[in-house]
Amino acid sequence: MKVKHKITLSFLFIIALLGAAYYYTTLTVLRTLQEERISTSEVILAKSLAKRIYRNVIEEKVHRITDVLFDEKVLREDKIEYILVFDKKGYLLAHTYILDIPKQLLKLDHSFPEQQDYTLSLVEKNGLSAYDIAVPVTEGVVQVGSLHIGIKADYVRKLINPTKEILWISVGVSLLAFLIACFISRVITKPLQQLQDHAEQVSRGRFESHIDIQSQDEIGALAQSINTMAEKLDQTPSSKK
Amino acid sequence: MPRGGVHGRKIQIISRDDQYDPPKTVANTQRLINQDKVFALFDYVGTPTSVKIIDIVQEAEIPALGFFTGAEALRVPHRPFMFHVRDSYYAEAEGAVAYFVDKLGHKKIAVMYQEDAFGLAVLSGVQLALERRNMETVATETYKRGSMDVEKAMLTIKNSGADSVVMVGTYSPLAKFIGLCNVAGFRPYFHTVSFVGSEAFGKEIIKDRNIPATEYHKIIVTQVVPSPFLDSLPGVREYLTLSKKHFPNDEPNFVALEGFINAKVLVAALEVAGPDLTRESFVNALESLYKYDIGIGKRINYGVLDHQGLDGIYYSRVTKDGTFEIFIPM
Repeated sequence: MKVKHKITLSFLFIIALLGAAYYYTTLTVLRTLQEERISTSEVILAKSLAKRIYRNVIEEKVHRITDVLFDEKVLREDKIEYILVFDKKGYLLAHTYILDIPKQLLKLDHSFPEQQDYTLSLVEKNGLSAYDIAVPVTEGVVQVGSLHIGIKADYVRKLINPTKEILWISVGVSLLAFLIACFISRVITKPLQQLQDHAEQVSRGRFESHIDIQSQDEIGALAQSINTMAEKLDQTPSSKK
Repeated sequence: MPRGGVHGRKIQIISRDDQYDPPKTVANTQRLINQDKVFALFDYVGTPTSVKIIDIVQEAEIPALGFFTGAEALRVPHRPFMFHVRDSYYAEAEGAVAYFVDKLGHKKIAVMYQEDAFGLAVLSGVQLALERRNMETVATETYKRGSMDVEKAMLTIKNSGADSVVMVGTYSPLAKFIGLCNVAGFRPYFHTVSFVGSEAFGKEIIKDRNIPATEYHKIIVTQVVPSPFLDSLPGVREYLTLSKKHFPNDEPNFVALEGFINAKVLVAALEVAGPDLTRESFVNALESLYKYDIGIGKRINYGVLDHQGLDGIYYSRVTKDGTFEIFIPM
């Protein structure tokens, strides 16, 4: 394999490595942002809903709860996948499903770890893809039930979007890096090619030929050495035959 | 119902009472679809209640037929799964205005309405009808739903000197309003829409000593179905026979007849849909009912984009014994 290709390949490898790291970092940051967004505004939405219905949960006025849930869902059709309200025993009191309720939603966890007033989990199964936010429904400090609100994963993704711009920028930067890699490998390998050609000439006995490489580095020194060597060989009697 | 069902299928009715409370309508509807797995929704009563299920019907794609309300909000925009039999409140308001303005030459029309979706639905119908005649209401006044506080409304409207008053609400406050007007020596024509429940309204009027019998003929209710006593119509005759057999204690009334007519339309669509019944074939069958005769004089006319079956209204007025008689304005 030519040196030129070796250098280009090494560059490509580095670019790919950097790209992957960049992609991974961006994704992690975005995911953090998405979850942050949910844990602020969407959790607040869940909490305020829980506040609105707590009395109806205690009195088990299912139709009042249902009405509130439906109104909320219709209002925010773009982001709310479902809202479920369970009583303190985990029995489903009210929900926003008109047709069948996806089975996995009935197995949701309703417990809240200490010091935590909400839980967040990703529900992904059977065509359902949503962030499930659970908050306790409380009267004062007593938990009387729990409220789950499913925020469409699509909505969150769109909200904090790793837009096409980012993709195009990374493609552009990679392309530029590749061109630079080609250029650099050419700059480095061009004098090497010249040296190789020159050495060939000398080996065929053409000692008078001269190579002119002005660079002040190892390659320049090597060219100088070959020139000196050719001159010395030229002056050697055996070489004249 | 035809004995033995339609195409060998019995119709099972699951009824749930929402007590005219919109949140209950939502919860009941969810239960009917989600748990009872109904094929279609039928005979919803009221405006604020029925508008609550528009989105649910749309999402569940379940046919809903025969709403006991004429609210425009349920008719426009067009909704593929919602079907109406009776004509709209706009049509009733237009009918009332046409009678008062075009026939009787009234110049001043006032509206007294219940402050909710129902009241506003009829009010905008009246305003549109007047607008078409380059007129506007001389006074509008509201009262609270479920209350009897119509005194203030009476004063405002009396002071406007209206020739006729369109009232929107339930029978008790409306009858009280008419009584108060008469006591105050204010005797215009009164009108209300079919939703009032004419029989109860009539009884309330003759009970009210403040309303002299000589004023009865000036109390008009627009109806969306023919008179329940008109036994010359085969459809009404069928209703009277069945009603007498199954509900011997029930007086024939407009509301029951409307329910019966809705059921006739439902059965007609089930028959046309054929033995392979699906929600889609049912909707298609309803849309195909054109000039379809159910024995009430007027024909049922639906279309792909026309989801209202009966067009046109009837005029009725209070008689000496507190019943309503259909009349044709001359």
